[in-house]
Amino acid sequence: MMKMKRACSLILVILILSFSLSGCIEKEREESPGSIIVTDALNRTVILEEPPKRIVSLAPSVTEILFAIGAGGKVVGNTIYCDYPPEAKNITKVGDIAHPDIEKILDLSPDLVIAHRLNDLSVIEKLEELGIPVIALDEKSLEDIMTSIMLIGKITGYEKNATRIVSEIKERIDEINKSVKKKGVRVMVVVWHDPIWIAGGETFIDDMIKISGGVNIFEDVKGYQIVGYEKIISRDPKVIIVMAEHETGGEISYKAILNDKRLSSVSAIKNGRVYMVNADVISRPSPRVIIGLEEIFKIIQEEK
Amino acid sequence: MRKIILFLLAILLGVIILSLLIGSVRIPPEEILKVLFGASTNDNYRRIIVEVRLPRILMGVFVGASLSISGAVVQAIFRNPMGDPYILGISSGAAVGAVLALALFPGLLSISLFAFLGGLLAVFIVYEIAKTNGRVPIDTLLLSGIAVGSFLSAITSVIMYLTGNYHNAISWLLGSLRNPSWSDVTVMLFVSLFGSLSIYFFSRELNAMLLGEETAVYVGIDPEKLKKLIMGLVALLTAISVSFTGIIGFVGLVVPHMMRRVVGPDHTILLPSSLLFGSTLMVLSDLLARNIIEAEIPIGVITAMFGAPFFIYLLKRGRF
Amino acid sequence: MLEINGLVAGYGNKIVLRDVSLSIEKGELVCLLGPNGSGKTTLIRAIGGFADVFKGRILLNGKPLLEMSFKERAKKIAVVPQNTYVEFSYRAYDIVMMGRLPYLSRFRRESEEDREMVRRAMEMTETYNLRERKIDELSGGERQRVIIARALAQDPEFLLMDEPTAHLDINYQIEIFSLTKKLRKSTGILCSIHDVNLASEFADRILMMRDGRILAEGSPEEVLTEENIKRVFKIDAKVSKNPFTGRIFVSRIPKRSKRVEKRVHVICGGGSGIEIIRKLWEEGVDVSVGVLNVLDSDHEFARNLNIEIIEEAPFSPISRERAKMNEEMMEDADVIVVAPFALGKGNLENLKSTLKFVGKKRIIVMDGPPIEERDFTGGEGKKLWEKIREGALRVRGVEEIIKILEGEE
Repeated sequence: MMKMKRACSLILVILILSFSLSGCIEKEREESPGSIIVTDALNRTVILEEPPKRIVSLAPSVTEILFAIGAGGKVVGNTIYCDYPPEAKNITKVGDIAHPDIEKILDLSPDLVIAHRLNDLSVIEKLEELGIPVIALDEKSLEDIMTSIMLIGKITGYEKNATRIVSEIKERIDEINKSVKKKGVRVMVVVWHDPIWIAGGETFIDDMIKISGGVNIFEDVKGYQIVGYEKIISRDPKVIIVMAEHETGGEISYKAILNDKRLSSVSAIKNGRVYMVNADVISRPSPRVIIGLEEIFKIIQEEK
Repeated sequence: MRKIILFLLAILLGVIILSLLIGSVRIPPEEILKVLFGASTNDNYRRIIVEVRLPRILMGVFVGASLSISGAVVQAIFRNPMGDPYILGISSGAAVGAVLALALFPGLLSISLFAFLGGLLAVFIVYEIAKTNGRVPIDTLLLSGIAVGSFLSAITSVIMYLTGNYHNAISWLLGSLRNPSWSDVTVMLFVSLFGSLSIYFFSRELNAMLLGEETAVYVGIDPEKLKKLIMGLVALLTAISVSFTGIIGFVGLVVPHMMRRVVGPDHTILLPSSLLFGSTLMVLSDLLARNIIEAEIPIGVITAMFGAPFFIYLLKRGRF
Repeated sequence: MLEINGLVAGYGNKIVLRDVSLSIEKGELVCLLGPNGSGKTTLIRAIGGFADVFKGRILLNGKPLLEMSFKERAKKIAVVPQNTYVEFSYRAYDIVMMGRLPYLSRFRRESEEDREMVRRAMEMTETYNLRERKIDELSGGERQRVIIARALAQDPEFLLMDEPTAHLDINYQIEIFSLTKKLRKSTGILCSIHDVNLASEFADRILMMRDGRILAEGSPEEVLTEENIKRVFKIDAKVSKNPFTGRIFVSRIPKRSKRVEKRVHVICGGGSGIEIIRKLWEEGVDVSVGVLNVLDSDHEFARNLNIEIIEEAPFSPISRERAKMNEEMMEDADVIVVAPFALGKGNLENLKSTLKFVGKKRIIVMDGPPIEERDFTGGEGKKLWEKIREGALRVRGVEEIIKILEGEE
């Protein structure tokens, strides 16, 4: 129910913002009329003669972006983890993220495959070899997410919508920036509890913390990493945010962190400032990150 | 003995045909025949068979062959049943190369190349460390392989930690036949053909080496030269295999043992039968890896499921 | 001819051979004799190419061997190493075919000539009938013959063998050496060995080694002197002639200490007394034995130690006269020891004599196989033995006898 509400509010927000921001759209710079040229996260240049009609998405975030910009109807295949929006569930599955099934992709006769850095690189290589246009995404910051949205928008021919969404995200970020009261709140974002994996620097979660007035206590650690108790205790987070896998067993990590005696001296635990956030909205580089950002902002700024 | 080779060849062909027939996309057998005889009108079927299934099967054949024949000769020159083509540090070296490539050049082609170079470099280091007074004693080589291997594994972890790129690195380390291109398959074909044939021509010397280095010397073999040459070929075969498919365990270790039980220790028979059976096992494992569940299981998991119980069986029988 | 001059060799940076020179002619069987660690194995390995040569020259028919390739060398010199155990199940035939490796081209199969050479080598060593058998299933002697066949298949000018009989039973030892002697017709043979008497029996020439040097060289008669044996093996030895072969026969002289000053008379026969006599003699006991037939193994043994013996003609029953002499000996002794010998009509006299001293002298009966198993007199012997046993101390081993003797002092 919560999710539905959020989804609805998101769509509403998007709608409102897209109307109000329709003015500021970047002009497309096209080399030759009709053909689309983009450069992807792996620095590969991809040229499409015309907008794609049959798209295969190889990551949940890609699927979300496609639906968000209005290209959902052109998605003919996605992964078994693509569950948002709900319509995505009914699309033909081509395997998991790490090793999507090339046979199934071929069988769908796509004219564009949107891959992700999480896919085994050989998949991208093979599709390229087979002459199927493929672009790859990779996001390490909120900026990167917006780039990805723009990229998908451009290549699918939904650039206007993409621009609207990106502008809305930027607007929302600005708003949060303005309403930040407390600054320098020490935050730790836990991905898993045993061993404790955290989101470090060079992640968009790190960006979200910063924007929300927090400081990621593990900013010096690159990417998602395992950290030791001593470091956690000595860096003493004021706020701990635990990712919860939606639906099944979502609370495991949250409860484990709350009840971990080794962490009982940490301020966040003493002051009851341990929170649970739906993993999908803060770990998927999709337009829904603004929901995640909003939540993190609320959590960090909460008075307690 | 000829019969065994023909029998193994027949099994391999059977498994190859089975692998062509079975895939995630259901294609009627008559369509497959049409594709193979160039009479198909369905372009998707043609691409799935010719561009996806066939190169992957052939990659399995050549990698399985390379790893098995390498395992057989490593066991012979080390005179150690634990001999495994990875024992010389090749896999660890290749892993360093791969994660380094992932860290430095997020492009695509460099991974295989870096893994290949890393594997060769590791063997070279292992060999140089083991060298004492111009000789390379087997025990020292073995220990040096283990030590260098552990060190390189640590480096791999450090690189993974520093770059934070676990997904691709772990996916690479787990091993998979992936989706090779025909050019990959061609490279693999020539390297494994060259390596296996070269090794095969040393069958008699390898037989003598099994009687110990001393006896080998007395029948006119220069053991240091032979070791160097064989290790060079093993390094080539293993490094190229690892560079295309990552680390696939147990095939190189177990297949030679299985075949030794069937055909005996004579390398003129043992090498070709290990090669054929290794190919068969690899293709069969990949068939299972692709089709047991909806997603792909790493092939190393399947080969370990085959290999480990057999190894335990050998252990309990007290005979290798 | 194989000529070695000033050879210094070893492994890595360890020197084992110091300045060794020798020469072997074709048709000659030269034995290398020396204790463990004297450098025999290293010498053979250095010639065969497995040990490192630091200095010196090895010439084969005037050509420097060390400059030859491994293959060329293997065509001229074949080696049977000390450890010939093979842990892999090769056919015997395949093992012998490995001897053809130096002649085989890498890209070609074995020729008719190769098969012929293998057949000849296997026939010479009487292993052709074993050709399909697995090497790891053969007996020690069979395996050794197969390995020798492998060496012969190399068609060598010189054959080097490192202790070819080290792990074999005595019957195989003789078999291998008889074979070796036959082989000398076509090759020169250098064979290391640590059994002095085997060397004496088979060698044309003997080289005695110690500490990486050759200490003596020459025919068995010239080399096997008591001084040389003392120098090389650090033991006292008695050199005599083997009555059957006419060859030099070397026996070790046990060391004797003067500890237990007692007179002991031993009743024995058929080898049952050897251990008792030797131990008592070594402890300094004044031992006598009787009555023993000449040629009985106890008799042979006692005679070599110069012990007083009451002897009877070979294979004859003990006469009353000899029995009486025996009883006089018992009278003089402090203790009478009865060994667990086999009882027959011929030596029953010995027990009858002993029975006379029950209660008068200290008698010790040593346990052995059950009396029923060694009584061939139909019960009479058993009765006598049991009566003696009742009036005697029973022991299990010689050590106990010595303790009793020490205790009485």
